[in-house]
This record gives sequence, structure tokens and C-alpha cells, in this order.
Amino acid sequence: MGFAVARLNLLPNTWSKRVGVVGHLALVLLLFSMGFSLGANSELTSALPSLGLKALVLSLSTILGSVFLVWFVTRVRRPAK
Amino acid sequence: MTLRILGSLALGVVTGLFFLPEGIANMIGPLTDYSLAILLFAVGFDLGQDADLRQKIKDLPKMNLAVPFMIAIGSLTGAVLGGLVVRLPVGDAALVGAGFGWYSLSAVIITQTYDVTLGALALLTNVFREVFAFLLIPLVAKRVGHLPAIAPGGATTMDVTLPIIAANTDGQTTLVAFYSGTVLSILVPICVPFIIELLQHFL
Repeated sequence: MGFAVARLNLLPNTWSKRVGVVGHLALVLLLFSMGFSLGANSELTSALPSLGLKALVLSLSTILGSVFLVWFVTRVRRPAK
Repeated sequence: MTLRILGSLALGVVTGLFFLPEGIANMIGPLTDYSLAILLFAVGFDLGQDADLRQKIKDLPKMNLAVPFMIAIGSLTGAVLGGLVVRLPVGDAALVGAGFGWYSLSAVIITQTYDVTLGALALLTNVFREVFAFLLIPLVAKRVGHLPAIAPGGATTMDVTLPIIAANTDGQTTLVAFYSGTVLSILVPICVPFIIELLQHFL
């Protein structure tokens, strides 16, 4: 929808900065509410002591694995840089 | 920016943990939804402002189509390797990794059809993945490259982590990220039951 609004020039150009600020505020709000849901989730907090370390290792290893593969493939395909 | 993001996340966690006013707890769901909607509006607005977007999409290397699959394979491999470190069976580790960051869905499927403890582990792992994604995307974008910066978000790059990618990379990468997140989100409800099926047949 935001895409359409910008495309059709429904908003004056001076608004683009405001949209950015609003977007940023929304991001902060979103993260707060996500954090709240996580903190208030008893299932999550009760599992934390026993499974926390495992989860930490696994989450980091999945991220590393995926970042590495994308990096590796893009690098192999585009060596000139 | 990263600091503010982490600050608000941490503040939310603390509030959720220690103060739990009934009224507010009910408002949080809609708050998440609306702020996400506004955010995606802002991202869409940003993309729409780019006049030669069409050309940029055409210029995208076809290889970008493979990005979500690389992320999927990389995640599974990473999970299995991480599983070796924490002594988790290969299949179980792959199952946890197949959440691709979409914690609610993968954890529910695993809890209901496979194992409760593993479901809890999948929940935690994928929550952590999302939180780390917020932290690591800016770093990876700066140090490693724009396309690899899509990877930490996994399935979440179509919504919650998309703005972070948009802020730290460029329009083209944002589009690839959205596409990638969509594909991975479709893959989660396919991969997770599939791996469970495999586990139940062969173990």
C-alpha cells in the first residue's frame, strides 16, 4: 500500500521524511511490543534456564550457516570486486 | 539506531516479565499488528519513491532467486553443526533449524506432532534467531555484503526484519529480502512436517 501511495504521488514529496520518522517510531513500538510478548510468554521464560544455552548455540549456528552460504555463493559467482 | 532498537526490545521484555497489567497485555497484540502495518507501509513507500525501480528489478541477477534456498540449506547445515556442539541428534537439530526464524509456527508444529521439549527448544532458538537478526543485519550488511545480510532474518525478512534490511542495504536488496522471506515462510510449514515425517520413519 505504501508502495502504491508513493507511486501515484498521493502524498506531497515533503512527506517522505515524515513517513520515514513514522516508520522509525513504528519500528521502536513494534520491537517493544514483541519484547513484551516474549517477556510475558511463560512458556518461553520457563524454558529459558534449561534450554537457553542450546538455543543460543543453535540460533547462532543457523545464522552463521546461512550467511556463510549466501556469502560464499555470491562471491564465487561474482569474483570481480 | 541499533541501540534504540535493542533498547526498546529489552524494555519490552522487562515490562512483560515483571509488570503484567491485564489490560495492557490485551492491547499488545493489536499494537504489534498496527506498528507492523505502519512499518511495512513506510518500507513500501520508500520502494515506491524509487523512480527506476522497474529497471532495477530487471537488472537483478537471476541468481537472486536462489537466495532463499541458499538460506534454507545454510540454516539447516548450521543447525546440524550447532547440534553437534550441544549434542543434539542430527534430525532434531535440523528440525529446529527448519523454523527459519518463524518461531510461532515451527514450535507449534513440533510441539503438537513430535516432541514438547524439542518444540520449546525450537521456540527459543527461533526467537533468538530473530533477535540476533536485528543485531547482526546491520553488521553483516556493512562487513560482508548486502545479500548475505538477508540471511540472518530467515523467514522474517518479509515482515519484522524487512525494515532493518531496508535501512541498512538498498532497494534491490530489500526486494530480494521480501521475496526470500516469502519463500522461506512457505517452506516452513512444508519442511518442518517433512523432517518430522522422516524422523518418525527412520528413527
